[in-house]
Parts: sequence; structure tokens; C-alpha cells
Amino acid sequence: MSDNVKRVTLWFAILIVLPVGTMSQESDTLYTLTVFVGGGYTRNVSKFPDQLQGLQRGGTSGTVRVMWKPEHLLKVGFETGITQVYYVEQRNVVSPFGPTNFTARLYTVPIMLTFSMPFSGGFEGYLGSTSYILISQTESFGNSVTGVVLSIGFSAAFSYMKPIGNDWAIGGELKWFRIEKSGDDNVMLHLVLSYRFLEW
Amino acid sequence: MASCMFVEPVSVPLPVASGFLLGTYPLDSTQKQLLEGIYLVDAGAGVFGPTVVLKWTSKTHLTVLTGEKVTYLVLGAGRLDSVFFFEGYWRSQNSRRTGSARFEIRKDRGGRRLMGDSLASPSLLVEGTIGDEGSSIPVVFRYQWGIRPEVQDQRFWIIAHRGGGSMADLHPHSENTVEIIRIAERYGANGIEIDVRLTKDDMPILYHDNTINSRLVQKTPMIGPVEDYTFPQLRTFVRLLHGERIPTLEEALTTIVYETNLKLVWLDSKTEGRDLVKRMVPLIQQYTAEAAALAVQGLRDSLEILIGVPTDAVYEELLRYPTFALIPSIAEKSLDKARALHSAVWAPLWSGGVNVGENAIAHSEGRRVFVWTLDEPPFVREFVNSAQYDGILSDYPMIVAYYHYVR
Repeated sequence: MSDNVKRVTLWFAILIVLPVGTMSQESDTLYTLTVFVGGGYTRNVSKFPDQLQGLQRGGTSGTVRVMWKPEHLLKVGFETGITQVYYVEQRNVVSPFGPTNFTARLYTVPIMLTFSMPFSGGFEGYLGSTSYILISQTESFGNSVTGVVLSIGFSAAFSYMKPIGNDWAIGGELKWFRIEKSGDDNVMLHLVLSYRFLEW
Repeated sequence: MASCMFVEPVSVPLPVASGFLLGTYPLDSTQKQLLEGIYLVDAGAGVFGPTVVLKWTSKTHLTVLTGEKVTYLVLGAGRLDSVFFFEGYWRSQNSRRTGSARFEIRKDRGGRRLMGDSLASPSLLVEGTIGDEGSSIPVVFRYQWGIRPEVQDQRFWIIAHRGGGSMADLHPHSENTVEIIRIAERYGANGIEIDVRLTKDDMPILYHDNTINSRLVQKTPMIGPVEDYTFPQLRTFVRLLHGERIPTLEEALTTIVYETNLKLVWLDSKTEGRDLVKRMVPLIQQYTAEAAALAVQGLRDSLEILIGVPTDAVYEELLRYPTFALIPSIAEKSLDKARALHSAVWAPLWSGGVNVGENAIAHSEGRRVFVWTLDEPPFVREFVNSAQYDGILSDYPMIVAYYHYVR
């Protein structure tokens, strides 16, 4: 079993088993749609070759998520956004072709089907199967290139939300993106605002 | 999950690292010739199988080739009086097992025979040990017979895929690099196939895939089609899996001509619609001529450099070239297209099976027939033993070499 499969299995186990002990099944049959808007800091925690200089692992990230809450505990939703994966900047690189500056920004637009389960006290866990649109913008030797590739991956998040009104809540979210094609892992800390915009 | 598949390369012991061969004399050509042959494995069959082939794969390297065990030994050699010494390394390609190796042929176990003593015992025993994770395994090879002269003399092309094929896996060199090309012969290959594509600024480079990806390169923010990037960008900011820079075709051909005795190069054309053929032809002509000049001086064997024609687009491009009939090519499509291009070689895919009829027609037209890409030992054996092919492209040239030499 690969590390990734083990990791995902563990997450599912946590999401499914823990709530059973902490919450009872809700009795009403209210359906809701809630939008979550989050933004904050992201940090790439993957391993890089030693010779890659000028690496900036930190950056910004923003996500939008819509979750449908049915009559049972498992919610399902869709998430997207934009996240900087990492940035590289090297000045005055000496090469046989002459000196150059090198800049490269890699970012991703996730397209994610996500599931969540509530824990007690406003905590919630998320797990997503994700397609990542990877976009790189590089420039060196006077040539700018925008490269786009598609990757599969996973995501997981753990959030705490505090209600600030009937339909509004605010909180924080710790997130993890795993992008298989580029081998990147990004961890994010987001400030999140949610609004329940539909119920029936 | 290609990105998580990168595995640290096997740390192969350097041959002749300990000084075991220091102070010994090199073997002469007669001694080398007498050593070559098919040997029974009296000890160590669990690693090497029941029989092995000992074959000189360069002036200084004796390679022990095996069949289904996919294991090999690369040895340096020397002698003191009538005792012959060998040192190098062994490696299993089916696992991470590798280690150092030391052998000797004692005076009374074949040493005197190799020295030309006609009264000496005809037996020839190569005895020694191989290291395996801290322990040592005794190994004995017993000479059975020589490689048949008709096999030895036959022009049969054992072609290593992507400059060295699967040897790049778990090996400290990446595919399609000058580093892997330098050692391809040690694994029994006498030819190589390399993949050529054009950069944005029209430089022919060695690179197989159409995108920069984690199968071939170390982590990089440069993604997308290779053809979007210029050669200075690729050369300066991209490292192949084991840290090498992407080589140009010219660097690869220089290495082949001046640092190896490879006899055939199959240039697989990977860029379509951008006149890759036009860029390759002058280099083919230049390096074929340089190799020929060295061959005249006895410094290397002659060298054939052929353009592979894997797609209809490359076929059309080659056909448009004014002197296409004079350009040596390998037609990987139909035999009709081989005829149209005047290809020296027709190379059908192995999955079509042994095609006796068309092979005979190709041969009758003066064309050689290669098959690609054959890796499974039973299929390699079947295709070699069919005697229908002049060459086999493989990720495991040592298997092809083994089945060829034991014929």
C-alpha cells in the first residue's frame, strides 16, 4: 500500500469514526447550501533538489467552497480557488549562454469534490479528491513560457467555525494539497467566512 | 503517481576500486578470446542461473551475461604469471541487489591453458565471491564451450533503448544522457537508440517525452511541452533525474564516436513538423565521416547512424528531403514505407510476432530487419532463436546478448 493510500485511508477513518462518538444523528431534514470563502498563507513543504536556489516556499492562497448539507452527517461540496505552489527567483545567473535572471511561479487551480464530517464544538474535517490545473510562468534568457498541465491529487482540511449570526460564521482552516504530477505538498492556514445562502 | 516513484539509485560499487588488480598485467587478445564462451554455473546459480556467457564488451571490461535472472557482472581483468584476476561489480536488475565481485583463475584451473600451455588441463574455472549486503556468495563458472564462430562473426545488433534502456532505472545515470551512453557497451549492447527532439530555438537535444515531467527530470517549476523552451533555458535550469544536464545530439554523437566503440545509432525522431530531419542530417554525415576516419586508423569500428521514422509525419518530412534516398533510415512503419524511403532497416513492432514472410521479403530486398522493443526473456529467446532478425532493440541488452551468444 502506498503512503498516499495509507494517508487517505487514515483520513477517511478519522472522518467517519470520530463523529460517531461525538455527535448523534440530527433528527430534522433540513437541507442547506453554504458558501465558504477563505484566504491566507500557503507553504510548500515538499522536498526540492539542493541546487535549486532562490526558492520561496511561502505565498498566498484563496479558496471558494460550496457545501451541501443533507439530512445525514456527511456533507458534499465543490471547491476551487487559486494557490501559489512556490516561487523561484534567481538574479544574475551565470551560464555558458551569458547571464540571465530566472523567475518561475508555479500555481494551481484546484477543481475539487470534497466531503466533510462535523466534529463537536464547531470543528469539521474535509477530504477531497482533486484535479489540479498546474500553471507555471517562467522567464529567463528573454523567453517567457506559460506551461499548463493537469494533475490528479488529494486534499484534506480541518476547520473551526464560530457562528456570528443565523447564517454567518467565521473561523480558521488548516489545509493540505497534494499535487501528484509535480510532487508538491502545500499546507495552508486560512481565515474563512461562511454564509448559509439557501435552505429548504 | 509518477512523482513519488523516484527511487534513490542503486549505489553500484566502482569496478577495480580496491587495487586488487594493481600490479597485474593486461590480458592479450588470445587470452581474451580464450576466456569468452558459455560457462556452467557450479556455484552461484541462485544469482546467475544455470549458465552464463563471458564476453568482452570493451577492451577493458569483461561482462558476465545471464538470461532470465537479469543479472550481470562487469569485471576488469589482469594477470600475474599464470594466475588471472578479475574485479568489478554485479547487479540484479530485478531488485536492488548489487555488490562487489572478485574472481581468479588459478594456475592449475585454467591459468596455464590461457598462457598457451598445450599440456595444461583443458578445464577452465573462474572462481570467486560476490558481496551481497555484508555477506559473500561463492561463485564458480566452469567453461563449457566457446561462442560458435558463425554467431561470433554474425553482424547482429543488440541495441540499448534510450541510450541504455532500463539500465537507467535504479542506476546512477539517467536515460538519454552521455553518461549512460558511455557504459551501454558493458551490458552487451553494440548499438543504441536515442530520442531526439527540437527545442524552441531549433537545437536537437536528447529527451524522450513531449513534456518536462517528473519521470525524467528533477523537481522544476518549468512544466509543459519541451518545445516551448529554448536550449539555454533547458540546459541551465533543468536537471535530469540523476542530476545530469540535457545533452545535445551533437554531444551525444561526440561521446559515441570518441568514447565508445558502438557500431550503430538509431535516432528516434520525436519532433514533428519542424524540420528535425534537416537539423539531424548534417550531424549524421559529419559524425559518420569522423567515425570512418577513426576506423581507417584502427581506433574504432565503423559506425552507422540512422534516422528512425516512427510516424507518418516524420515519414513525410524525410520524403520531402531532397536526397532522402541517401539518408540512412530505419522505417518503423510498413515495409512499403521502408521501400519508399530506401531504408536500410525495416523495424516492425515485436507484438506483431515473428513475421517470417515479410522478413524474408525485406531481406531479399537487401534490408535488415530489427524488432522493437523486446524486454521479456522468453520473447527475446524466441525472436533471437528464430534467426529472422538482424537486431533487437531492448531495455535489457544483456538478455539479448546472452540469448544471441548461446545460440
